[in-house]
Amino acid sequence: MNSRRKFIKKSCIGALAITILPSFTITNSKKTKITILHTNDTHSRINPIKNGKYKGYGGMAQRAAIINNIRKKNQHVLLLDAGDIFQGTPYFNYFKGELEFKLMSEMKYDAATLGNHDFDNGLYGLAKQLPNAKFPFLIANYNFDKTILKNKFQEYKIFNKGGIKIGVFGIGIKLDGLVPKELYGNVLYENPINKSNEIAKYLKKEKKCNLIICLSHLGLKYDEDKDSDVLLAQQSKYIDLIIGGHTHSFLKEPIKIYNKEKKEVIINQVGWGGINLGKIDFHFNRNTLLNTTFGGPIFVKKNTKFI
Amino acid sequence: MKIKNILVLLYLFTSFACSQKIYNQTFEYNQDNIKVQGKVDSTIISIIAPYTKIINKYMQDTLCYTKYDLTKDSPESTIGNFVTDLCLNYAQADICIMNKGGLRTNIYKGYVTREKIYELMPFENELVTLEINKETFKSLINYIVNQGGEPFSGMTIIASKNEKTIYMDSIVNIDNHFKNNNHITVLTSDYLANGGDNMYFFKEIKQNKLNLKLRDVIIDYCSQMDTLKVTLDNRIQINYE
Repeated sequence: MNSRRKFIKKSCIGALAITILPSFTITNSKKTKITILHTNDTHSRINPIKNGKYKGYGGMAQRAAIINNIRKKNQHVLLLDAGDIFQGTPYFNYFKGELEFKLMSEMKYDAATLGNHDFDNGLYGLAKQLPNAKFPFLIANYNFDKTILKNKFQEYKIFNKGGIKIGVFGIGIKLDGLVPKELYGNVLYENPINKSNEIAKYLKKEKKCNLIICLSHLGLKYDEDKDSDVLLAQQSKYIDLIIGGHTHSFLKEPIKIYNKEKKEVIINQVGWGGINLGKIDFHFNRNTLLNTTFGGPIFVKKNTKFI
Repeated sequence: MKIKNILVLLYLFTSFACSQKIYNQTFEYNQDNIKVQGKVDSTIISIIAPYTKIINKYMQDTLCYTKYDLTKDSPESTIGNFVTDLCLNYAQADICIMNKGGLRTNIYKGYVTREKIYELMPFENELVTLEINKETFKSLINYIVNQGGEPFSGMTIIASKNEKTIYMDSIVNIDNHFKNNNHITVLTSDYLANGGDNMYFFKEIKQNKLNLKLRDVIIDYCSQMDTLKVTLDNRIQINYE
């Protein structure tokens, strides 16, 4: 009886010590903020938009200034694009994407994925412009092995920012029915959801990434049964953030979706034309993700402020 | 020994509970209102300048004027009627069909420059005509109604739609056409004729190429006009049951 009481007493002290332990580690903590900046469907919008609802918004020189400013104030920044860099203004008709890639390189984009319009000048048209891009294109579900673009792209890239491992991979939309066959040639399309789950699991389990980001050009969601960011999020397990594109969706704030494990996946997309810059901050305590903050889409305009 | 085991278990339990809690990320929406100085990046400006100079030589020409905004809408739109009506004037065809996704911007009230037409129609798409039979025509009409309207010219569609079925009430101008003919001539872009935007029903049909770029046709039309006249005329009426 006595020994039993002693045992209970000891285990209580043990439990007490353990409950104190987390707060002890927090006082000894190393907090890291990872800032994700992102664009999608910029569509050759080099200059601010001249007419209509978004008159005066956008512009790559304006975007660059905002990005530089954010970089000055934040140590760990990743700048990403979710595709459809090409097509939309005479700059593309004349210079075939050269200027878009040069400017994105100058802005120090860390990675982009491919949108359907990035095939508008065919595989040769894309190949010709790739030397102007000093950032990698990530695309996991297009197989280029039987094309001239073999080995030009990677499925994922791991970035190490302040001790946090960030795995980023790219996913493209089904090309058949959207892009003329003669433009995409022998690119083989793989199921985006299966491929995403495969890569995300690899990044989590094998590569021990702390944060997993999917750059997707699938589109936010559809009425019909068609692969989308929302479906991908629901059927995923390891993805933390999906940066979307294609549907030109302006979101006031990111969408939260519960995945297979009832964990939150965040989806964000910022319209088109570089009108907005997306910014999401991930706060880590050592390697553990604590929370995510979002200050609203940043409207790219002279005298821009966060709203 | 026993105690140690229980402690390990307890530790595992608490850490598990802890990581669970942490992993269910909390998400905060901040109204930061942090001002960012909006000075443009001078390096970027200097890279852009020589490219702009080349483009502006040609792109700033005024072609015509529009008193009204030409915008994208459903089921019928001013921008859709504008493009398909003018195209149908350029070719021997019964109807013209384009797609909403292919008309990339609105054209706002004011002078219409060549640049604006490039932004409306940035693609190098060319015009083609197709001879389609009644079956393909039905597929086309079903597609248009299912999409909640697409830009077209040369007919009026009156349809009813519920979740499962589309009922064609009448297709004015075309209803009588198939009584005397097996085929109808459709003017469209090579992109759509090749099955683009999931118009698979066009894919196998022989194309008659007109060797005209859609954009050039729009520019040509605009440069002949002083002021654009575009109207909505209820050419598509979908009754949702």
